[in-house]
Amino acid sequence: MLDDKLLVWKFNRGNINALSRIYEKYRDDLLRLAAALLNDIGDAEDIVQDVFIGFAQSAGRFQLTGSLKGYLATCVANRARNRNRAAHRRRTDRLNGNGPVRSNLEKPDQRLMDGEELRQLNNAMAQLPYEQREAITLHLYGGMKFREIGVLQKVSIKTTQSRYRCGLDRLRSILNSKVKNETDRRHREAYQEC
Amino acid sequence: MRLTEDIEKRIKNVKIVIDSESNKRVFSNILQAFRKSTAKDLAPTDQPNIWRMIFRNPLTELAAAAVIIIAVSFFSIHQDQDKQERPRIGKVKQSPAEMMTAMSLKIAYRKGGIEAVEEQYNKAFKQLGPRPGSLSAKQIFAESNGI
Repeated sequence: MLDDKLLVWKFNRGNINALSRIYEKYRDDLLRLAAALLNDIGDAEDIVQDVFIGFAQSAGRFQLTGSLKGYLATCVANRARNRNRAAHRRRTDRLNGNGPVRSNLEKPDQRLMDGEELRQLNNAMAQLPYEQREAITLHLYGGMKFREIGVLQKVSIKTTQSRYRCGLDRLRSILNSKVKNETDRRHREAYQEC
Repeated sequence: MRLTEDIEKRIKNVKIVIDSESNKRVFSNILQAFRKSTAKDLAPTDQPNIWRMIFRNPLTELAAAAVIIIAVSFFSIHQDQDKQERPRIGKVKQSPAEMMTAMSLKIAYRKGGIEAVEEQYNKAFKQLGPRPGSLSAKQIFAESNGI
């Protein structure tokens, strides 16, 4: 916390090293957060870059009131929600027969390697209701307290905690069933080989 | 409980691999925005704004207000005391005899030369009123000096 205050103080005075350290410190968590909320690595990268550009533009007048990680995580969550809404609108438009068709090709300058573990987890996350996903990711990746998440989601702390617990239970069952299916498949293959 | 911790740990520890080249490119974009912003926004001086610092915290704000009130009241009380204690400075009227003393004339000479001496004589004679023509200046001078 004190380290962050010092970094922000230096950042406000135009210190590039401070900006670099903030970026290195929180980049991974924010990318994981955005990837889990959007289930799209390319979009996650775009959002994290936009958040950091917005943050960089506030140099000289940025005032830190809470935790820096929480602030950046909130920015990512807000942008992710907006993008999800826009994507939902586009999908609806497509189903109605108007609007552009979006390419499924991978973006050319994608810098995040989509690891198997991350993909599995994000696919499981995508099956959760958005609020539960948000509560889990903001708490675990954004380091935010349930009270802060409650403020962001405009619900009580109890509701946030309940969303978090339910989300984790569901996620566990999804991941476990996947593991079980995978084991069954391997057993079947081994049996066939015999 | 342990199951919850396990899944939390699993979510937290999921690894991401970032391509360093494109990461550098992204950071250079961020840096560009930062440079633009600092060139535009940062003040030439590094001094913090003291009033902003005071008014950001309600406690310091109250303390500053109290200090200002105390200073103003102290200043006004001090002013009143000064007014009461200060003696009135007025011009002390000199008698013609005092005006004619050697010391007084010497001072007048130092201040304005012979013209000042003459002026002082005239003032003294004016105060004494018209003099009889038979009375010489020497006699008047002697009389006013008590000789």
